[in-house]
Amino acid sequence: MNTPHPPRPLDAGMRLVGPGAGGLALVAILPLALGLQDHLVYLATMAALLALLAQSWNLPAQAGLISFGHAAFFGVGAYASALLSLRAHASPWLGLLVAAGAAALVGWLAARIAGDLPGPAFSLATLALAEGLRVIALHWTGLTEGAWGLVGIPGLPWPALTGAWSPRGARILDYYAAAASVWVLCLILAWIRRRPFGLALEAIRQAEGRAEALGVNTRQVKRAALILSAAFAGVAGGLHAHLFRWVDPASVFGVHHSVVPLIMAMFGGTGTLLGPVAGAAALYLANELVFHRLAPGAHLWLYGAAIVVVVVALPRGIFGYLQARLERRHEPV
Amino acid sequence: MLEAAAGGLMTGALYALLASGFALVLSVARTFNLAHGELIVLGGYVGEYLWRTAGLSPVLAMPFAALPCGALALASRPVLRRVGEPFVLRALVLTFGLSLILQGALQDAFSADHRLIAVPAWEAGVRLLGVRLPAGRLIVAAVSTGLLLGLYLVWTRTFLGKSLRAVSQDREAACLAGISPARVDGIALALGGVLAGASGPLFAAVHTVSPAAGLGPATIAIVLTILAGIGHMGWLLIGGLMLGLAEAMAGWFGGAMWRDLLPLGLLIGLLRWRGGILVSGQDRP
Repeated sequence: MNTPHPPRPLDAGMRLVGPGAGGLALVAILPLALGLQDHLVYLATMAALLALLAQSWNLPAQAGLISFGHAAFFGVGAYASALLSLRAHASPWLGLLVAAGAAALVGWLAARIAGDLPGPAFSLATLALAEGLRVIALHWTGLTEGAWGLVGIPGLPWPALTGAWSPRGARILDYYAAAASVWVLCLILAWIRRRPFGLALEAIRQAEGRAEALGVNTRQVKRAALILSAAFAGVAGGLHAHLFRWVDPASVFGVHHSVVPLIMAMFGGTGTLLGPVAGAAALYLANELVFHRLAPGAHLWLYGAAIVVVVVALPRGIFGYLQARLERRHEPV
Repeated sequence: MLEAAAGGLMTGALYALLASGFALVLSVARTFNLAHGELIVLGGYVGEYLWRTAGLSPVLAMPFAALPCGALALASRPVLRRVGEPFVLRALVLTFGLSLILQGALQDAFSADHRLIAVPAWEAGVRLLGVRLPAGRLIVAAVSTGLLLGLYLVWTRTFLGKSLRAVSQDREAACLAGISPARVDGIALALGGVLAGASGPLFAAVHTVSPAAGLGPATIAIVLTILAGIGHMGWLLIGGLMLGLAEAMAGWFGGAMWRDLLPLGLLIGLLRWRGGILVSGQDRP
């Protein structure tokens, strides 16, 4: 195998400074570019939330672990943060941290029960895990209020804004919270990419047996990828709880939150760094601005068609396809 | 408790029928059809529509429900043929996408309401060996068992069954014997769709259907297929009866939560035990 020499950590870190700062600037000015309009800022917030979920899904996928059950991590994060702020009156910021921790624990569990299963079996086991957690959340009424769900969850506690800014400013700060999480996750993934951990993920995807023979502890690498991925999916769930102010089993543990990150990440391009973010933004906005208005089931048509197109025609996703075309153009003939 | 056990066994026979089409497609065409549950729900909607508009009994509605589902399954064939390697995983993701499209279509065609085929005459009780059983459930179980026996006879006694089994066991050897695996794949897909559609009205007679209801029967189909093994159609009925009984007992002793968790826990356990059989067909062209 002809892997590039891993660069020294300092080099890798320095190389991220430019794009990282650029990304941060983009995140910062987006509300201004949208004219601070409430509806557009709301769309950007939701797109960022889904991008966070899709990007977290992409991490284990880089090692070939196609999860059908990210709703498990999302839902546990949502319930953990919601319960903590409702029952213990803890700050939602602490709730988000606990959401990450609780979801990471479920990620560890998923790695325990499914991490070493072959591809399709892993997918189905994660699907069963998410469904199982939904059933538990539905029936454990003492903790979760069952199908009624938890209502009255506090929003993110921003410093009080007064006057004309009071509701709108908080919504814009909500956007910053979601977008900043995506930004942090992207930075972490970019940093990992050329490090031994990222190379090990890629090696496992290409040939697991060979990677193992070369001394990669595949089980440990997969477990770490799942735990990290779950933690960020949990943060996405916690944010969801505090933005929508209510959670119920069907909404946060439902198949929807397993399907959506899979489709968005695969549509954008699993192997690429920004593909999942672009895929999430593109599909979510296409749905909200166009398809949503056509028919009640139109979002399912859109998502289904996107995944069929990717599997049949664009195995590397939109972003991967564009990347490959650009590289081909720059190659000497 | 005896009634619960009998109810579980009757449900189990239906479970086996729900799984039969899925098991056939996985065994022969090596395609993991995650849209199987949606095909069952579509069949259920067709049955419900015929019952509501024409008063047609669910049993008589079965052929009408089977036809569109078989046609749809066959229509997915050109798409499936274009799926690259690793085939099993990609086909899984692809059929996941197809199931979403079907869900969208169901929602637009029938709205998101829950529907049930409630036949008044089926509510009557029948005394059998000292246990009182609802007549409808008994009919559903009897029809399911009959259909499964028919499928088993086709699978073991006819030339069609022989070629299906041949392709399931060894594609190359089947080629040598003059069987076209591509054609047999198509037959298996169509037959799987027909079985899914036919089981739909029966499913809708004991369980409400909604566009998102496909996951339940799909889970049951996956559990029973892994339990029975690739190419062992005969074990489906036994596995189905066992699952129905186990679910009824879990519900009786532990309540609804344990009844719902049982197939999911069983699925994870079975995947750990012999999940490899899902991948064994990876050498498919």
